[in-house]
Amino acid sequence: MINWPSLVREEGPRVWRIAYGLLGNHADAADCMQETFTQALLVAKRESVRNWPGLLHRLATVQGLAKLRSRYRDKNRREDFALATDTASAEAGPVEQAEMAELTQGLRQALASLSPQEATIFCLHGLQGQSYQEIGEQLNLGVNTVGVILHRARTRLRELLAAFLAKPA
Amino acid sequence: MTAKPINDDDVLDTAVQGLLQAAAATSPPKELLARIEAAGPAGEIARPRPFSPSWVRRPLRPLVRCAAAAVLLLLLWQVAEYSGLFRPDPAFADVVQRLQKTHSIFFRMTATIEDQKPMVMNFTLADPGLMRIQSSYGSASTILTFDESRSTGLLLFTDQKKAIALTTAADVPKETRAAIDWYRSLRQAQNHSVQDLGPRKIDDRATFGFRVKKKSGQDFNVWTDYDVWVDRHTRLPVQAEASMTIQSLKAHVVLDEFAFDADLDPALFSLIPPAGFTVTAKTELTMPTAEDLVSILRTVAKLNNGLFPDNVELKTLQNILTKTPNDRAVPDGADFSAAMKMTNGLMFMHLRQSDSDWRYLGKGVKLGDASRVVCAWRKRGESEFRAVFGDLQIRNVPEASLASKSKS
Repeated sequence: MINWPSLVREEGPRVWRIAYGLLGNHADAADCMQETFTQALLVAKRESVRNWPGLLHRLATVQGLAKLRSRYRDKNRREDFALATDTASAEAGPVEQAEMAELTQGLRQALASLSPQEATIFCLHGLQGQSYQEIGEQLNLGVNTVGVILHRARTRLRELLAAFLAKPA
Repeated sequence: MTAKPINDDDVLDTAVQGLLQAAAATSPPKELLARIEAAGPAGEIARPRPFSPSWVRRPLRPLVRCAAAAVLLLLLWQVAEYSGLFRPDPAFADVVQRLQKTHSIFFRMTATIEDQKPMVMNFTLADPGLMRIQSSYGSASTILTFDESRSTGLLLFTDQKKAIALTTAADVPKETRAAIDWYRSLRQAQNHSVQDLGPRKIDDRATFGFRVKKKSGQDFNVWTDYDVWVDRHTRLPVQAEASMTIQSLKAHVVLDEFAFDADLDPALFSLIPPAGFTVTAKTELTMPTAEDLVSILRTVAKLNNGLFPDNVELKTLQNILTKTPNDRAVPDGADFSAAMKMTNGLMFMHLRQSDSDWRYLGKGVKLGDASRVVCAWRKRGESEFRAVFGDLQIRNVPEASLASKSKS
């Protein structure tokens, strides 16, 4: 049995970091985190949850990517890039901080361009460090399929990032 | 644009690091955590009720899918089996192999010669070398039973209750005896030239056809060129047909009503005349010889007012031979031997026409004219012709003098 308050206290920070990493600002990350826990409760009412952390991380990733896609679909909100208030390493200088901020923006935009499955698998592996086996169990996919989709996602991301950086400032 | 990492891999890894670093530097607001805690259940999260449909559905999903796939496959297989649509086309080698495993066959043969009334014969053939042919034509009805291993047979005239005992001369090759044995021909047809005719429905049965052509050099068997339609499921014949020309007479033969490996009563092939039948003659079946040819030429010339006919086509000979007064329904022994001799004479001509350079020069030649040639043949590789003269003597003649001996 799971105790809800302790689950929120233990997994909340991790869910927050997933949401914040993908969305880059407090307001969107807070929305994403709240929706993640709400969705998790709904899932728990339908079926028995064996791996709560895994479920929360997957839901946070899926919710975050959905918000990201919605953001970049709306061209009028391109200015929202400014809402991503990433804070780079304190040791980095202002130029490096600006470069890193630009690169992470590019990665978020590129993730929004991938298919939901490709983006989810990339995030679960690349950002959360889950193994192929863990991802396969969560998404009902074979290990080889996960590997193939991940390879495809990485290739596409590299292309999109290169195109993004080649654009004039 | 700002300074860029060295290559695409570095770019992606650097961007990922940037995201992770940005996220690591922050933590969720306490009021947000409190709000989420408050929104959820106060204590333990209740487990879903066991055996609820949703609880059961998830683990059973793969099983349901497998079962559905199995049912679908079963249905497809049934449809394919019934319709024969997805069954691969049978190969002729399969048909031959399937036939070789059978032990007996029954079929009906309907032969139509030009515009004459069709003749129906029922064939029953069984291993080893047993044959029974039941035929009726007009009011005459006969049953021929033959045992190849004993080289003996029995011909019954059922309406007259009379029988003729038959034996086969030792020099008659088995191929000759099998001249009408289509079953054996097909069972040995693996080396024949075969063309696929495709699918066809015969009496609601899905069949597949083959055009079988015997290669040259196998000329004893009349079954040299025929179409056979086999059941797509059993690979056994359903129907066969052939068009053949024998001595300029065109015949069409259809074989159908096939039955294989039926329980056959051994009495069907008995060579003992049934009670009430009288054996009127004993006749030996022999190979056709030049003497048989001379015999038929003599008979025909005598019936044709001492002149040899204009040609030796079957129709012409039939017209002359039917002038013979014959009011007896069943021939006695002598008549039957004469009939066999005539048949052999016709067979001799047929064979020489197919395996030799055959010439008929008898038009206008008088019976007894020793100076003129009636017919001649030369086998491949031979320099001189064997010629039958008007006096029915057979002599060798060079090709150059053949022309002079054909003129008056």
